Amino acid sequence: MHQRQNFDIALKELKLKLLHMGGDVQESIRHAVAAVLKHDESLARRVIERDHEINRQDHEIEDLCIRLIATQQPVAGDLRRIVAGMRLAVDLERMGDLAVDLAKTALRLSSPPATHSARRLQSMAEAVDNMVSEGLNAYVNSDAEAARRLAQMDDGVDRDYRFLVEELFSDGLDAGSSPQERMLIAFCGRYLERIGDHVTNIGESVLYILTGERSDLN
Amino acid sequence: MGKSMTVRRLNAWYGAHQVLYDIDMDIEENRVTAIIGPSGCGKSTFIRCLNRMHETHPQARVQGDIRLADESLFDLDPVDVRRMVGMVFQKPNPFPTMSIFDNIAIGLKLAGIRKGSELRERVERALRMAALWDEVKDRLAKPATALSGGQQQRLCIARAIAVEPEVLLMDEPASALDPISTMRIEELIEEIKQTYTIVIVTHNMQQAARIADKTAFFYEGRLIEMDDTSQMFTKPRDRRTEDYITGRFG
Repeated sequence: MHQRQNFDIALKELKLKLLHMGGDVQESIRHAVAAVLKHDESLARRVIERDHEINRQDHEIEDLCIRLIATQQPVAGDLRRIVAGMRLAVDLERMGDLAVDLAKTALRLSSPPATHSARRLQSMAEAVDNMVSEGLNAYVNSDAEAARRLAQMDDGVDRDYRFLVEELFSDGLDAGSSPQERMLIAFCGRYLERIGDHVTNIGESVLYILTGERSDLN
Repeated sequence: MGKSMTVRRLNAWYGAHQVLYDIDMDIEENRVTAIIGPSGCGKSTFIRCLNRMHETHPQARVQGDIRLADESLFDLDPVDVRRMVGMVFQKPNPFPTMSIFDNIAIGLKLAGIRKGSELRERVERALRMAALWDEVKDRLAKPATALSGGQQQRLCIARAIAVEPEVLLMDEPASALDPISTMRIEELIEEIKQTYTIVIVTHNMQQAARIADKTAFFYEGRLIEMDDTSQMFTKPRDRRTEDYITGRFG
């Protein structure tokens, strides 16, 4: 029983580490979006600098999972929790990278996006931020319903992304900006849309932990 | 080739104490079936029923049906049953006063094989199958007790398979062995399942996960769940199975 106690403590540690990493990634995404919308270069640089800390957390979580597999020979629910934990860390790490891509785009832009695009990006960013919160909640609270809701939320983000691109490349709205600027804004939309996809992966990992079944939320 | 076994509504008692309740199980031929469960759950009693050893206990009683392929064990002579359904025990139990050769030849002689050349051939075949031949071929006349624990256990496996049973029952065959000998036994099980149907009782969860095709979980005399081993160790259906294999009790 003593053995199991140590194992349970380690599983809690895994959960806390993932949550901590999730919080940091969410903050990076928020800052990156703000850097784009306000054209704040120092905030963009901060996001880029902080990425190595997120990568370090990914490695730390992976090391913990490998250690638990090697020393505890986990099975059933324990095994699913650990394997899904590794996948969650990889998704979070990729979301961190996309935040860096957003931040780098902010540095390439010569000014904040024009009003209409800015509004569209803002709305996507809010939806993605809600998804990240919901994904982390689903994981913490073992909430299958919350995990499944991510699929619909992601559909909304995909729709917004499509509108953003259509509007950017149709004449009329924000007609003043250069083709390069429009491309960069389209990339920002693309990065946010990709972050949404990674959050649906998180939902799939949560469902795998809870049910052992594979699902497709995207 | 091994044969399948079918168990239906098997109940077993020691005196007034019931140890097995309504067990239904299909044991597939040429597969390894692992029986797991906490101490006292009835798993050893169960496999002792499979070759009618349980009823040799003075107060023991059995009810239900067990079939080897299509034949009910209870329509057969118990001696024939034990030849067709062999058993290997937890502690290696070679006949201590006999040589390595005689330990295996004795079963064959009892089965009516008298010719020296045939005996030698069958003994060699059994020892090769048990992956022991190369280690003992130069000292077949030495006492079996001169062998290491792991070698003695492989000798017992050779003894059991020499009489060419259909099914081989193993009651924690590696629990008294070091890791290397355990690995040898596991490799051996993997090899011989081509020829025999194997039912193994084990306390070692990883061992069941490594070697068994099917795993059955027993608890308090009942078969709680039986499924493909990979399913049992990743996604068991019953909460009690999950709790046992993840070390929450037992």
